Amino acid sequence: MNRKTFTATIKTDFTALEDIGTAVREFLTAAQVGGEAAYKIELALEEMVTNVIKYGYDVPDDANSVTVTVSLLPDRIVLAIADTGHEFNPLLAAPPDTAGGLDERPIGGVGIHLTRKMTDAMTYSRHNGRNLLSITVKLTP
Amino acid sequence: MHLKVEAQDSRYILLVLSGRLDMAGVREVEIAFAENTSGADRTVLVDMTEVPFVASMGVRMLLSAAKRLHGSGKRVVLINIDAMVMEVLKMSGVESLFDFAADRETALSRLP
Repeated sequence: MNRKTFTATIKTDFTALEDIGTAVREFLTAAQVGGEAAYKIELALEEMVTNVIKYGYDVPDDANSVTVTVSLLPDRIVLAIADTGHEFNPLLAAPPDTAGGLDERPIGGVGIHLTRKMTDAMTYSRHNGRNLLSITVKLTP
Repeated sequence: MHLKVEAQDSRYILLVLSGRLDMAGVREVEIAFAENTSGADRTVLVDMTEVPFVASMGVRMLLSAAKRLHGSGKRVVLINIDAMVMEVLKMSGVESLFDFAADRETALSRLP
């Protein structure tokens, strides 16, 4: 069977992130998506779910969750991430200052910026108390 | 994720990383990485041959060594880095903070 969609809902902890990272890699490998496109999707998943785990919820709770969907289309891959955490639009996050010298360079805070630069499109919306993030990576023939 | 100290003397330390430098991978090696890149001001060589993936947490870990060396005149040299990992460093705006070498011999021949 040639699966075109992967979806899973996980708890907001780093063990769950590691597990879903492995599952998405296996899904992409089975669909014969490798190389740059696979790297970009894996990177976006890692960075954006890390953000939800770190900042999405004030109190750890088993009810906190993130739903990840990866859809394979003929010309692109779409990664959708939905969570019920604090309203957060990554498109409005200020880019880190990478122009300064080494001493001024802040450590961290580059995940969102990096994901936006490495992927082809990112959209955000908020509906019924859920953050809905959609990230597109084009497939080159 | 594994970190191995392959060789060292007063001028350098050669670390070999293997595995994915994502959140999980960084958590496994960051303490050992910090211990081996602190204290002595010597060139840090990191063989990246077996690192197919680096996320921002991995960039942060590698950058921490460059920051510790800053002002000493010594550098962090990343050896045999994957093309997409290089792209991540460029897009993070940090590639100029590292040196790069195609292989260990080249890196060792350039030691200050």
